[in-house]
Amino acid sequence: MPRSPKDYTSTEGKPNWCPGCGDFGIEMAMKQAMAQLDLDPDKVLLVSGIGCGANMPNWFSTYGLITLHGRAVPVATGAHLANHELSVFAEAGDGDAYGIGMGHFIHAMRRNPNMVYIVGNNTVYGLTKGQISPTSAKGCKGPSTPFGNPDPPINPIALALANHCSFVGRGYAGNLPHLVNLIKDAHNHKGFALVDVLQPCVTYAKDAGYKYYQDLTYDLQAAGHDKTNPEAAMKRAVEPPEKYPIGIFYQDERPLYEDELPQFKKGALVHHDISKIDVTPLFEEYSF
Amino acid sequence: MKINELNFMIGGKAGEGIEVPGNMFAKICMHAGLWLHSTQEFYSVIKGYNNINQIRVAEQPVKSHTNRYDLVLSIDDETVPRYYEDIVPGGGVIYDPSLVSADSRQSELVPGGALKYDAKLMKKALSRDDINYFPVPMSEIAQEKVGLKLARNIVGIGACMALLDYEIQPLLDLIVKTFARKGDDIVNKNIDAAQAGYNYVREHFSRQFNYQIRNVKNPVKKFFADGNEVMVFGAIKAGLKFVAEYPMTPSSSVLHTSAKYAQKYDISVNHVEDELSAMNMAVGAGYAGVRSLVATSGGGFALMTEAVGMAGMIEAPVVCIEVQRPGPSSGLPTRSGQGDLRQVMHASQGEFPRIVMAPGHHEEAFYMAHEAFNLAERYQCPVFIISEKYLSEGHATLPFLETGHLTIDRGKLLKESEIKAGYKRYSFTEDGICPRSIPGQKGGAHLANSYEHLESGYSTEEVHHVNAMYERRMKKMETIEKNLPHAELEGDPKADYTIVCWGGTYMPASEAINMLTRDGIGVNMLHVKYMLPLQPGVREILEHCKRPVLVEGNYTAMLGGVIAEKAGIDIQSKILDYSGRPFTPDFIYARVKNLVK
Repeated sequence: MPRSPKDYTSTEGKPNWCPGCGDFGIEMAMKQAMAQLDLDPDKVLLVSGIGCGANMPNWFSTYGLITLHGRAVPVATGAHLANHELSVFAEAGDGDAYGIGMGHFIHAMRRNPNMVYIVGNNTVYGLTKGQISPTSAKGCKGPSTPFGNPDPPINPIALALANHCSFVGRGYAGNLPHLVNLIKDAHNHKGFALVDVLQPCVTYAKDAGYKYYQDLTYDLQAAGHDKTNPEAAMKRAVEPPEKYPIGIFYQDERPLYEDELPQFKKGALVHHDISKIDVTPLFEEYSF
Repeated sequence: MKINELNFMIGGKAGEGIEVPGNMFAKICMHAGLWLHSTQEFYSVIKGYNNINQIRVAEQPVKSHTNRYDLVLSIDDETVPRYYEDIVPGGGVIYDPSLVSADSRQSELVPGGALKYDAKLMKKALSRDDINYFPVPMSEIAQEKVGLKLARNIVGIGACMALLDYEIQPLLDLIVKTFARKGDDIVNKNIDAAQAGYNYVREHFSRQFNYQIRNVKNPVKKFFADGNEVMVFGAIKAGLKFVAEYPMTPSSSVLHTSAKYAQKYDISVNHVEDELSAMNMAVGAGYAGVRSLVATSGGGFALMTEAVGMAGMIEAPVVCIEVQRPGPSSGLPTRSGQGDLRQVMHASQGEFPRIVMAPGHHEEAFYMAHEAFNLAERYQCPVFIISEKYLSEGHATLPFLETGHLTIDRGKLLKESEIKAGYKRYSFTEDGICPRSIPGQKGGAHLANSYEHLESGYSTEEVHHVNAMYERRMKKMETIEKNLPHAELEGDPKADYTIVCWGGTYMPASEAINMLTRDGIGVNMLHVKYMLPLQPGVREILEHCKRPVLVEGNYTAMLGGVIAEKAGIDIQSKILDYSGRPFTPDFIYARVKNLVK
């Protein structure tokens, strides 16, 4: 029997997001993608940070791990290296990923572990009540910036391209079929796959609602973008903010972190037998 | 004639090479069948400033370093004027007359660093009538034989072998072993340098020194390693599979050593972007079911703090080695101290079970590192091994350690076949410890949640759920306390004084006790190995002690505070030091003697 989103849904409770939140779209897209990929829920690990969207694992029946603000990526990396046979999804918000967790994000791209990183990007801090985020536009007003955000926003796509991220994608929480396919592509990609997801915050970022994104997003692949061309990708990434290309900006095949290390050739580290390790050769080596 | 009992020191500028020849000297003594203890004092610079490497040698196991030297090898201008007073009567110093002479001009003053000496001081340093001076033109010989003055350290080690009337062949063999990677030319030049130093002393000072190194008959098989190395060996024996670290002195050799053996023992060793990442990764790996380690020093540990609490909350096993150096802040990067106990005990918000332990010496460090991984999985909590630079970077000879009795205890980690329908990861149990599944296991899916949660891991804020889960978690602390090994009193239980200490202070303290005993002063020792939970039995032991004396490498007597809080005994006599230098047996001896007066 084909799997359905229900197979990935926790029976404990229902999401507590505001009605109309973009997180519902991301949640459904992830579950549909998992179902269509026919992933065994016991072989999936969903690791999140802290924030509205990062509460996600509560509503999944897979293995889940809600970590700390900004730390989804390193925790997911550790778990992935312990058992690289799992399907690991890291999931965070824009403050989580591009603010407090920025250092990890940059180094994970460099490291290229085989995992998907979904970043719900709604340009605002929701759970702490409406402050600006690293992706908020200059001039944006909020409780921490009553006279307007003094700083221009981070461009996560351009940043990822500059850091040799091996899969750079962007989706939109209001375009479910497209997002499902993008998450599937990201999962099937061998390496670290960034999926930045534009999402409306219906409570704190009312200016950028569904209509706004509906009008301004366009499909890169439908527009004939060549995802193997890094220069073309960068051009699309720095297009004026009036347009939001979605789809795969860039993808390349390069060795995984774990590919280049013989330790991982004998199967997932977690399955190695640790009962009969002999350290006498170490004593010998330090003897003379 | 003193045979096989020697406190040797080599001093030179950073970057001039005192580590390699020092270790060569040590390995040759090990080869002769002797026991050793060595420690280095150095500045936090890559080049310049005077560094020393102290190596103590005997036919019986050596517990600690001392600062009274029998033989000093000075390969710079500064070692002699800085340390000439610390040479014992009858001892000697090998120095290079082109660097050290009575008409030396005033040294260049480096603020906060190098010793300021002038001709007057140099003259004094070279005119003690109770020690032997052995001028050896090491730079000149090195220039002649190798074409490089810097090879004077190898010339110097050759000179030492001759002065100690020991054969040169082991040194030559060791040079081959050490430099083989660098090619025949380097090997041959170093051999020539060592041989020339050896010959020079034979010709000029034959048998003029009353210390000798001789081969011991049927020696015990030993190896020579520092505390960090032996802890990594213990961890490997325990099934270490994952290491994440950001380099920080004096913990970096944990990273280096595990990296060196990563492929031999199939370990994922990661030099990561920062300590935040290191601890978070290690928690992720521990959660996913492998034996996972981080190592750092105080400053790096401060960055790990939040993730420590996460490990406590999601009940992930992880082991952290915290190698202390003096703080606060950047403090003294290359020195030793014991000022991080409270940081490690209390790091992270809220309350959660954790174990804090500290080994006293190298052998104990191996077994404790092994045990730490069993404890982490048995109690599903973070476990901290606190060490200090003195133990972690100090070397000792160890016998080939017995490992046959060591077992792997994975606690309540379930096999897939043991997971029943309706499994809940954080179920309520008598001892507080929950049966544990790991990702990938069929039927074991759950949420590991840094928020307060239900038995399934699902978030909750409801009072009765919060209380029940909190109490169940903290129950583990009682279970841990009940099962920790009891504290033990070492030495005569009726002694008048009891030294109370922790960590590497054990080493100089145990030797100080021998010295005091020889003087007829009865001293025993309570070495506390677990600080959190405080090891059971500490109160009972102290209640029967006549006069406890705390010896700690900090200002505020941190262990003393823990004992006062948990055992209700406020120890009045304290020997504290925060200079960044390890205690010496002499220092503890003198201070205890003062108490006796």
